Amino acid sequence: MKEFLAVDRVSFAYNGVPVLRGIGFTAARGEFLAVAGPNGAGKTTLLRLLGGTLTPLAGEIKLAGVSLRRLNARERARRIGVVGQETYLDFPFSVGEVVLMGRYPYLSRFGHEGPEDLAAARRAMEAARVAHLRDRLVTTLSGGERQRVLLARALAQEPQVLLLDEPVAHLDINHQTAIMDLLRGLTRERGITVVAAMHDLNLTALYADRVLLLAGGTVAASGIPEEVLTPETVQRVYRSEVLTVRHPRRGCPQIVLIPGGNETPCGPGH
Amino acid sequence: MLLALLLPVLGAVVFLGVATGPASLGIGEVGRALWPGGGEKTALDRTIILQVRLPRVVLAVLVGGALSTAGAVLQGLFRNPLADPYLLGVSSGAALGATVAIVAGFTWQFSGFGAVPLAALAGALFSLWLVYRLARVGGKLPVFTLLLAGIAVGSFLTALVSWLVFWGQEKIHQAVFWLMGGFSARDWSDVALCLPYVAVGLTVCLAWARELNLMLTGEEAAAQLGVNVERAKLVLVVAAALLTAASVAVGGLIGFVGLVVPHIMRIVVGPDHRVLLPASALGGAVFLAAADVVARTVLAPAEVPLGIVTALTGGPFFMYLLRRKGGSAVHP
Repeated sequence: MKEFLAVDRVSFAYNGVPVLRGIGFTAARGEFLAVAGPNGAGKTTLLRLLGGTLTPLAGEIKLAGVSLRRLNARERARRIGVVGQETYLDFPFSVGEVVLMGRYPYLSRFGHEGPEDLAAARRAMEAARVAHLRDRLVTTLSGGERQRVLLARALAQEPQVLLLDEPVAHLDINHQTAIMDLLRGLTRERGITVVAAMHDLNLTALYADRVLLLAGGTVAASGIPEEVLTPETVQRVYRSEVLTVRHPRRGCPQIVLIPGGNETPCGPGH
Repeated sequence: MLLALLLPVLGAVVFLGVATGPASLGIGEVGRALWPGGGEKTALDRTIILQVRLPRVVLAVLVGGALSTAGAVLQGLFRNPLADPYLLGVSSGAALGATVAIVAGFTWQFSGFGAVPLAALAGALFSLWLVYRLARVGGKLPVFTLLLAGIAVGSFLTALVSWLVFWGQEKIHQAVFWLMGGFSARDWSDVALCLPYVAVGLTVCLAWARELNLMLTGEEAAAQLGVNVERAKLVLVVAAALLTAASVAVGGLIGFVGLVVPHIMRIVVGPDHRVLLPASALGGAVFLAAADVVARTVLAPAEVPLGIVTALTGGPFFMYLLRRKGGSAVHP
C-alpha cells in the first residue's frame, strides 16, 4: 500500500505556540523515511503525533486507512512501536524483563505473559541482537546495547510502524552503522515502516528511502535523498555552507561541511 | 521465594505479639485459650488475647502492610527511592483531624467508631482532595506538581496541628502521644475502620503493578507501550493516599516503615512491582508488628510511642544502607 501511513495537513502547538503547521506526507509499507531538519524544527513533536501520545490540533494521521484518533492506547501500541529519547533504564530490571514489557498491549489486567509473549520477546531480542544479554541488568549496559534493548522492546510489540527519535545519537560509528543496518533490515525483511528523526545527513543519505526535511514547523523539502540533500536545499534549511560529494561505493550524496574563517588545507603545519 | 519465607515469619511475629504482655502466655496457654471450653483462667486468657492483644497485633499488621505498600507505590511513581507515604500531605490532614478531636475533647461515637480516628480519616480525605485539586494542571497530574502540592498542603496543615497542640494546654500530652504514633488502647472498631481501605488499596495497587513497572522507564515510554498513564497515576495516587489515610487514622504518624521497608525489599527482590508490592506489604506487616512488641515491652509497664521505636530502629539501618557500597543501595 502506497499510503500505509498518511499524514494530512497536521498542525500542533504547545500552549498556543505553533510548532508544526500543515505537515503532509505519506509512507509506504516497508519504507525507511528519515525526518531531518535543524534543532527546533519539530521533528520530535512530529514523532509524538505519529506515536499518538500527542493529538494534532488540526489535520489527520491515518494508519492503514484508520485515523489514530479512533485507536485507544493499547490498540495503538500493537501497531506502532517507539524508541524515544526519554526512556529511563535506571532501575535494575533485566534485559529480558524490559523487552517483555513490550507485550503490555497484548495482556489483560490479571493475565500473565504466555508462551506466545515469551516467543515474541525472544524473536524481538534475536532481531535486535540482544538475545545474549537477556539476563544482564539494564543498568550495566553500554549506550549501543541500551539502544538495541529499547529497539527489541518496541519490536516485541510486533508493530507495523517503528518510530525512532535520533536512534544513533551518542553512539560510535560502529554502533551507528549496526543500528542503521538493523533498521533497514526490518523494513526489507518484515515490511515494517520506519520513521526516524535523524541529525546525521550522511547516514540519512546512506539508509533512507525518502527524506522529509522540516524547517520552522513546515516541510521544507521531501523526496529521495538525491533530490533533497542538495547543497542549495541544505544551505537554505540549515543556514550552513556545505558541499556534496558522491559516496565512493554507493554513489549517494554525502554532505561535506565547510568551516568558517579560512581556506587553509587540513593537516599539520598551519 | 521471599514471599514464602515471609509468611511463616509473619505468623511467628503475630504469635509473639499475642503472647507478649504484662501476663506472658506460652504456646500452650494461647492454644488452650483459643480452644472452646476450659476454666476461668482460660476464659481470662481468651479475653486478653481476643479483646486486647489480637486487635492490636492485627492493626499493626494492617498498618505496616499499608504504609509499606503506599511507600513502594510512591517511590515507583516519583521514580525516587526516597519518597514516602507522608509526602502526599494526607498524613498531615489526618493529624489535624485527630488533633482537633483530641483538643476539643470529642467523645462521641459513630456506629461504634471513635471520634479521633473518624476525625483523622475525614482530615486525610479532605487533604487528599485539596492536594489533588492543587496538583491538577490541564487535566493532567504531573508528579512534580503533585509532590509540591503535597509538601505545601502538608506543611500548612502541620503548622495548624502545632498551633492547636500549643493552644490545647492540658490536652498536649494526649495529642503529642497520638501524633507520635502507636496502637495503645486500640480495639476491633479501629480494625474495622481501616480494614476496608487497606483491602481495597492493596488490591488496586497490586492490580496496577505492571503499569507501575512500565512507568519506571518514563511516563512517555509507558504511554507508547499502551498504558493510559494519566489514569494509572490517578488510580495509584488515590490508592496510596487511602492506604496512608486509613493507617494514620488508626495508628498516628508512624515514620520510617513506608520509607525503609520498600527500600530493603527492592534490594532483595528487585524493582518488579508485581513482586515488590506483596513483599513490601508482608515485610511492613512483620516489621511493624515486631516493633509494636518492642514498644510495649522495652520499658514495661510504660509504653514507648511506636513511631519512636520505628525511627530508632529504622534510622540507623537506613544509615547503614546509605553507606554500604558507597550509597549504591539507595540509588535505584
